[in-house]
Order: sequence, then C-alpha cells, then structure tokens
Amino acid sequence: MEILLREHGRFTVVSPRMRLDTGTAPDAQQQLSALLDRGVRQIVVDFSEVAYVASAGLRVLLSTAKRIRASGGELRVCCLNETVREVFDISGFSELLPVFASTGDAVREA
Amino acid sequence: MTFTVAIGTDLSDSVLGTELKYLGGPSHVGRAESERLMGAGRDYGRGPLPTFLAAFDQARRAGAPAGLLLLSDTGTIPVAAALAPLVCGAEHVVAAPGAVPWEPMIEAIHRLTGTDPLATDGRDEVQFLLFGCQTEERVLAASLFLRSILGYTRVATSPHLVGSATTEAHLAMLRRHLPRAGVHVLLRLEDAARWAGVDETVMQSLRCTACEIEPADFREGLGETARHIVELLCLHWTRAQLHPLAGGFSGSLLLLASGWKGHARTEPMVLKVDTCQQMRREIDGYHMVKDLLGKHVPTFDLPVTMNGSLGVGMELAAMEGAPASLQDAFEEAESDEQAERFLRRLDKTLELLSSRLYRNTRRIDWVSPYRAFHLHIDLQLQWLDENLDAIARHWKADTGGELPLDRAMLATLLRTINRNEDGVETEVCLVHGDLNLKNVICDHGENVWLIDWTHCGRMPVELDFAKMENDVKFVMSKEFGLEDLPRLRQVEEYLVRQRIPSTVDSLPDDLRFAKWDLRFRKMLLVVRRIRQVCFDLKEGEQWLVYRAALLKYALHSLSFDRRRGRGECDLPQLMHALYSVESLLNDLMVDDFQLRIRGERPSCYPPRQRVSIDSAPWAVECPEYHPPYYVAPEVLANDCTCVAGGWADPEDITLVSEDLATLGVKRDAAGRPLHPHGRTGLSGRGSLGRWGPNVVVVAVITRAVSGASGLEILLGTPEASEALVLPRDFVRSREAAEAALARVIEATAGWRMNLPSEVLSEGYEYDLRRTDHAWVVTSVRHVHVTDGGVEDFFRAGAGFESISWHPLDAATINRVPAPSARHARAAVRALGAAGQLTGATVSAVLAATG
Repeated sequence: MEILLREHGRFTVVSPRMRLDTGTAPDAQQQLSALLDRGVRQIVVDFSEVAYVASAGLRVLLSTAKRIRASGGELRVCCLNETVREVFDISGFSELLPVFASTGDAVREA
Repeated sequence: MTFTVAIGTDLSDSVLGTELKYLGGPSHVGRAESERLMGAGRDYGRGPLPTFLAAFDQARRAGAPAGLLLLSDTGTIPVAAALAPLVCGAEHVVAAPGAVPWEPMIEAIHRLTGTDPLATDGRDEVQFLLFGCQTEERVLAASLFLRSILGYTRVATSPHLVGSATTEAHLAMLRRHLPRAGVHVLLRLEDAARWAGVDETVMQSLRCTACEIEPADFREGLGETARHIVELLCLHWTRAQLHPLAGGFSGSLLLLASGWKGHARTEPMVLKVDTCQQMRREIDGYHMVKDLLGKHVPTFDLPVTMNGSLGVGMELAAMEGAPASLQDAFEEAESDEQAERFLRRLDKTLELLSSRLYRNTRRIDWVSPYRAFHLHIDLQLQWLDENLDAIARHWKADTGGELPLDRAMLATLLRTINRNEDGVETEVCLVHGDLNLKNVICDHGENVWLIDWTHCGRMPVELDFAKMENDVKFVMSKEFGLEDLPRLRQVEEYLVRQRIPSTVDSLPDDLRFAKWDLRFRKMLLVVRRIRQVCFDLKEGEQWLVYRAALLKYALHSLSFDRRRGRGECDLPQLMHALYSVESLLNDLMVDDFQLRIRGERPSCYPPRQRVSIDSAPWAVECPEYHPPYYVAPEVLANDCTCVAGGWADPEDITLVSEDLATLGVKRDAAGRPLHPHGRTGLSGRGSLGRWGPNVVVVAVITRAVSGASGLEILLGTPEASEALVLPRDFVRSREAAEAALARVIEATAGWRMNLPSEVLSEGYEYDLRRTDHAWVVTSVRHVHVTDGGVEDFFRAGAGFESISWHPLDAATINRVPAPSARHARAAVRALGAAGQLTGATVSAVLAATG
C-alpha cells in the first residue's frame, strides 16, 4: 500500500492511497507502527486519496491512536469524503479523533 | 416516677414443675425449658425467673413503685411452689383458656397503678415487663393487648424470663413478632432488672446475657440496630463467631456465623442484615431459585425487623466441618495442589448452576447488551470521571506521576459505545446477579451453598460468569503490587483478545512469565475455567455480551476503593481494573457490533437490518441481507400519477424507469436505484417521495451590514425545535433548482427574492430518512445581498416558527447543526474569495469552527 509522508511543522502528514480495508490494513498498520517506533508523536492522516475505509482500517486507526495518546501525542484526520465521513459517523470515530476539513486546518496548532 | 407492672403468665407447677407427675402434662414446657428458667437439680429455684422475682418482691416490699399481676386460665391460681413465696400480694386474673382476660386485666392495672388504662392521661408513667410461660400464646397475647390495644409504649420482656415447649415458636416470638409489635426484647437479664427498677447485681452471677458475639471489635463496630438484630438472630446460641462475607460498600451486612450452645458446636448460619426493601428482594430471589437448587441454597428462618432494617438467619444444613467461602479457598491456595482443590470446588459450583439453574430456565431473547447492563446511562460517565479522579490522586501520591492513561479517550470511547442500542439474540435465564466467590460457601466435604440472591433475575447468563471473573481478577487477587502492573496489563489485553485463554503451557511467548508465577497462573486458570463453562453452556458464541458484562463490572470495580472506604481494592487492583476498562473499550469500539451500518431512523420506520460496514458496499455479497421494506403512507397518498399536485413517484418502478435511466445511478435487478454508499438496512423509499436521489435545495442567504462582523446569515427555527438551520426544501418534479430556491425563501420567510444564486456544493448528504432506494442530495445555493434592499424582519412559514438574520461569525456557525454549519463555512470561503471578507476574517472563522 502506498502511503505518502510529509512534514508540516510538528506534524507528520500521512496520506494513504485508495481503500483502507482488510487487504491494505496490515500494511498500513505496519507503516504507522514504524513511524511511532521512530518517535513520531504528532500525526495527521490525510484521507483525500482514500475512497473507502472498512472496519479493518478503523482498527488500525484506533490502535495507532491508543499508542500515540499513551505517549502524549496526537492523531488527527482530515479530508474525509462523504463515504468515509459516514463510516466515521456510524462508528463514532468522528468523536474519537479530531476531524478536519483540510490538511491546512489539521496541521494548524490547536 | 414510673410505675412498673410485672405480669406473669402460666407459672403453675403443671407448666414448670420438674417432678415426674408434671412432666408429661399437656401444658408443661419440658424439663430443659423448665430448668433454664427455674434452675437445674439442686439449683432448682435459683434460676433467672425466681431470682428476678425475688429481687422484684424485695423492691416492692421496700416501697418501689411496682406491682405484680399473675394471669392463669385455671379457676384457681396454683403458682409453682418454688415461686409462691415470691408473689405474695399479687393481683390474680383468671380467664378462659387462650383468651386475654382484658376486662379484669384493666381493672387490676387500675388498682395497682392508680391510673385508668382506658384514660388518656398518666399512661407514660406506667411500664410493663412480661414473664412466664407459653411465649407464643399468653405472653404474646398480653403484650399485644398492652402495646397495641391499650397503647402503652413501654412494654418489655426478656428471653431469660419466658419459656415455651415449642422452641421454634418461642424464638419466632422473640426474634420477630414481639419486636415487630413494638415490644422491647431485653436480651440480658440485667437489662430486664434495670427496666423493672430492681437490683441488677444479683443477676450478674447467673450470666444470663445475649449471645456472645466474636470478634469483640467487630461487634463493637456494628451499629446499634444491626447489633441487636444479630443478637436476636443468634438468640439460640451462647456464642457466635462471625466472619464478614460482604466486600462492597452497599451498607448491607453478610456474615458467616459459627455458633455454640455452651461448649457444643452447632450448625452454622449465614446472617444477612440490610434495608427492608433490599432484603425483600433477596427473599424473593431465594424463593425463585429454591425449587431448582434445593439444598444448595440455605433455609430461611423468620426475619427480624427493626428500625427499617431486616435481618435473616439462613441455615446451611448437614455441613461437614467448618464453613468457608470459596474466596477463602482461593486466597489460601498457595500451592498447585491447593489451587486444584479450589478449582474442584469452583467446577462443582459452576456445574451446579449450569445444570440446575441456567439450563432449566433459559430462553432465547433479543438483548441490547449495553442497555441490559446499564452501560447506557449518563451516570456511567460521571462515575468513571469521579473514580478516575480518585485513582489519579492515589497514583500521584504513590508514584509522584500522572496517571499513565488517556482519560479523555476512555470517556469518549465509553460515550460512543454506550449510545449503541442495537441488540443481539442471546440466551437469558435466571441468574444469580452477584456471583462472586464470597457468595459460595463450602465445607470440608466439598459441599457448596449459594447465598445472597438479592440481584437474582432473568438476564443474559454471561452476567454471572463475568462477575465471577471480575472479582477473581480485581478484588481477590490482592497479592499483586504496583511492580506487577505492566504484566497485569499484558494479561488483561490477552484476556480481551482471547475468548478462551490457553492452558498455561500454551500461552503466547509474552505471557510465559505466568507459567512460573502462581499468582498469574492461578488467575488465568480460574478465568479459563469460568469461560469454558460459560461458552459450553451457550449454543451461539456471544463473546460480545460477555465482554459487555466484563466492562460493566470492571467499571464498577473502579469504585471499590479501599482508601475511600468503599471496598477492598488498593491501588494495584484499581489500576488492574482500569487497564481492563481500557482494553475492553478499545476492543468494543472496533467490534463488528459497533462497526455496523447506522441504525438511526425516524420513529415511523421499522428497525434497520444492521450489517457490518464491511458488507455495506453493493459490490460485496451479503446473503444474509434481507432488510424490511417500508414506504410511508403519505408517500403513497401523494403519488403524482394518481393525485393532482402529488409530490411522490409512483410505487410501480417501471413507470419512472426512463427518468431513472438518465440519472446514471446503479440499479438492482428490479430496476430500483441503489443507494450510492451501499446498504442502509431498509428497503423501499421510507418517507422520501422520489426513487433514487431526492434533491433538496438549501438556501444560504447572506447580507452585508454595518457592524462588527459586517455580514449576516438567514437562519430559521423549525416548529417544535430549538435548532437554528438554513431554509431548505425538496425540489419538485421538473422544477429548476433556482426556482426551487426562490420558492423556499418565499415560503419560509415571505420574501419574494429575485436574485441570482451561486452553487456552493451539490451532492449526497446523510439523512436519517435514507433507504436502499431513496436518499437525499443537496443543492446548496448562496445568495449574497449587497444593495441593502432586503427586509430586516420576516414572517415565518412552511414549518418554521421563526426566521431572522444572525451574524455570520464563528459563534453562530457553532450553534447550527453539522450540515448547516458546513454550508455556512462554505459561504464564508466564497465570500472571502469574492472579497466580501478579508482573508484574516475567513481564516479566523474557519479556525474557530469545525
């Protein structure tokens, strides 16, 4: 699975491509874990190139959020299309993770 | 000065005499009872009754305000020879057998006290002490007559001064009926002497006291009411050793009592004292399960009621050796052999419950687990917060650091999952409701008894097993310290992942330490056994229900805080429970039960079939998908092919097939359009009129004004609502969006607007009315009024209660619901792009809104 990484101030912006589902979730998990192992603690996941998120994708996000928050960091998400937004709303992830309309909004300091 | 009337009943030799000619008589109380009252052998005549009467006689002769009244149902008054010298000058009243000689009693009391028992004055100056035989007959009747009919408040008796041939009835009177009637039961002979105003020192040598309660410091710690109730329950013993069983902070008292009569050990009892309301629930619980569990639940004695509290003694029949709770066996298991012994007892308990209770009462039911376990109530969040505050304080005090958990995330997870009211089909049966190891009593012969049925009821069976697992892990594993927390956290995460934990030999590598550490090994063994029995019992795999039950109890365990006087958990146990809450919340958050298509619907809709979000796309095969079909009656009544002005498509899809073909949406084999985001759990059109997309025009009207923000936005409040929303309505068949916008503004605000609009966005919008075949798309249109030629005030219509201008700023945007807020933010961007707002203002508004 292709994931682009960019640095935006204190945030590392992670931009997965295509769907985040059972097939791609293990790879995504591995790449996010690698980031955490490198000490990255401020992550924005940019969903602008993600057409669909399945439950496996949500599990990856939650386990990453749990690990990152335990070490005092933060996981933000942005650029959700309507389908992904609905999945976030259905599952309650919209309340669990800070959701932003754009990458710019997401990397702005709180 | 208070006048004391001592009233004696049935004191003849035919009742109390120890000569052979009396012993077989029909009214004799029996040799043992006679000797208890009168003294045995050479001491006959020196027992508590003659000693008390001698002291009373002496006091009377010395001029104390006291009188003696003797009742009998025989024509003469043949007082026992040993007592006769002590009752000289007594008033004698004779009545028919069994009757209360009320009229002569009133006259005698009047003569003795000088006050009329039927008059209203002078009554507080008289008190009574009942003594003699046939506790359940004339003692009771005379006491009730004085207390309930004549209304005297100071009426008393003492177990050492009354007796009966029927021990059961005698104890029942003293424990329940007399106290319940307001008669004081004085458990010590000295108290009776003090009550009657006679010399109490002569009573001391007789040692006629209440049952001696041990340990003494425990007895002293009991409240006055609880102590008196316990003493009454142990009335038939001379010594009782109590072992507390209840570990919570509910205020109830649950005790295992070993008893002695003199030097002889007797059958033990379980004693319970609680509020009357709670105890009634408990007694109801016993009645529910007694037929099913037989001798494995204790047998009740009559309850004792006092000052709003109720106590019962429960007999554990045919016990072999000293009793102990299963918790004692767990805590004492310090070797593999002892652990095995504990497991045998646990197996027996679980097998007993499974075969007799659960299997015999089970039925399949639809259960919403979070609701069934009261996880949905707002108070859960408040309790979590309070408990976390306390645990964080303890953590700080002990380690100097901050709690190593994200509290906000825990609260959000709990708030998110507890809103899920969806259900599962599962087995419900009669369950104990508070099944912990303390509520299982064992003897040396490995017999078991189950006690404390207060919470018994028909619930998912997982509740009992999860409760037992919870208490084993957090309440009873007291030997863990703070240094064990990382490993406890690992174990907890494993137990949430693994439905049936592996044998110790097959544990994952990161849990190998359990193999060499008995504390962990014991805990894992017990959890494995509990879950094995639970899931053997179930036909289906309801792991979700079990985890929801674990969450309920783990959350509750956070309050069992020893430092706050609320239980027996110290910081390591509280942290262990907290790690469990964290693991369970994270796990349940991404469970399939949570990740299912959204269930919200208007109240008129049938419940949606909630498949996993992974099965939502139409491209994914989902053979189990059979959603209910629903079309609202008003949609059918407004069929545009039948009704003039009708706004709904015909139900016959073939009649609109050509129109649908132009929309380019996916369709099923029947030609019905398919929701662009996949399955919704409901077939048909619901309350939406059109097959496929139902276009809604949303009016974003802004104007320039002089003032701080410089811009305003038109917002309305729909009837029966307090929300502020943008005006909107469906676009009619063959109506242009621009025309629909003008119609909406005129209908909602009474303003005939004739200005061009700019499209801010067009596309799908989530709407709870959506179905598999009908959904909402919005055409969001923005009109910015710059020439000032617009009304300041409007007349609301079309379902709006009011409509007016509001400042277009962050405060307003944050007040409106999510869809309207998104459109308002889009308008801010558009106004910025058009130069109506500065870049800084746009950035500030967007940053302050979400």
